[in-house]
Amino acid sequence: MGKKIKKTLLLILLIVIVLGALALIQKPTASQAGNSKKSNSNVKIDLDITDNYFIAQTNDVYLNYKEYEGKTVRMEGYFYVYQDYLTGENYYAVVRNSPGCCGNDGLAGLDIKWDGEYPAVNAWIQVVGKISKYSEEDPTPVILVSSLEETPEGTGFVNQ
Amino acid sequence: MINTISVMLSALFIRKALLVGTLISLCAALLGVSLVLKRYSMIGDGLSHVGFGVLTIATSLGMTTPLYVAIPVVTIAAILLLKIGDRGKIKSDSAIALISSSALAIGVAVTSVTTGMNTDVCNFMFGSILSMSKADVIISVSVSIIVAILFVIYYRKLFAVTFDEDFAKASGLKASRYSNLIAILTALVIVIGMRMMGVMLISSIIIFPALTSMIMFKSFKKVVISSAVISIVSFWIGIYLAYVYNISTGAMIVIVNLVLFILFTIIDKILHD
Repeated sequence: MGKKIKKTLLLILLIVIVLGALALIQKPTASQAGNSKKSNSNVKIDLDITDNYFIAQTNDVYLNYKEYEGKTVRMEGYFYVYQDYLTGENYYAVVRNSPGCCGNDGLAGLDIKWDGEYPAVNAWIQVVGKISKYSEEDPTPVILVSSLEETPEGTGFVNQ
Repeated sequence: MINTISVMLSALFIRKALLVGTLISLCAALLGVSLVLKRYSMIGDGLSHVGFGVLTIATSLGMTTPLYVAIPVVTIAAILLLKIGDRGKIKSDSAIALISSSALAIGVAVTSVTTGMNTDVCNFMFGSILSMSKADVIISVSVSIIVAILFVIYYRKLFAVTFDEDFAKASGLKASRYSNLIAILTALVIVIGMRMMGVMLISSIIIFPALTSMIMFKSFKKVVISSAVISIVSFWIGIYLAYVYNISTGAMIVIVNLVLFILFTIIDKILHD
């Protein structure tokens, strides 16, 4: 068989094998849907921050805040408290563990503001609320939480 | 697979990443052929380290879009690298090592006394194509289109300078001008590509598609076209697999490139046996 024909056939075979392999690869359905435990189903959710792309989605809210302002978001993660070292004021957030620069010591997530009682630190919670910012002087995005509930722990460490 | 892709495409940041990534992959592949043939494969590594130094300094100074500073500085560094390698006592590989390690050290030093090793710095090192501001997208798309258009316009002259610079000079072509052009285009691709792949991995999308294509094809035009196709396809497959297996996007793109390189090598071996 001519070398050129053989080369073409082998390349076609390679393309078929690669496409076939990709077609067989499936994301597990539960994590494809993201959070497997859905609640607050009466509220229209504009943005579901799921296990997939947790870091990318939360980063996108910081980077492109104007596209998310006023949207209703649902997310899950650990309840986290941190302090402003200048004023001593407590701030609250929903976070997950993520890769850091020199190890898996990073945290990714969004700040939250809730009128009700906060849970214990590191409790796994699901929040629903509208994306806003603290103020004009402090444009850090924050979720104004309308519902907060403790749920069974999900994927605590995310890669992207 | 279709369902997975439709879930992915429902996210705006994925669509932005696909647009920017496709264009960057195309530009990196086009330039990669010339760089590999001129034995400047590691220049991508060197320039990305310079870019890291500039980006970390710009970020620690509070700049929201450090690309505005990185692009001209890395461009100057690219031209300097070529000049040092051509004329000076220091050869090109030593010049790359000198400039890249110095820039990286300066970047790390500035980071450690200012912001510390935070998320921004990590994103520069390992890539963050999924986290791009509107300004980053506009700059990346614009620069990619400019690079691609210039490559197409000056294709014949870049071809001449790539294969035989001395003959190109002897036949009246201003070879140094087009060598500088390759350097400038490379610098632009490196700076915008750092967003996608990070400092550590950017040179892989420049080198791998060219090397993979050279296994299969012998003419410059076929290698360039094949390089572009392989680069874009590797990017799409990489971003898809990164989503499925929850792995860093940049790393997965390099792994796909590596697998394709190995498969092409096997095909070539079958053909020659």
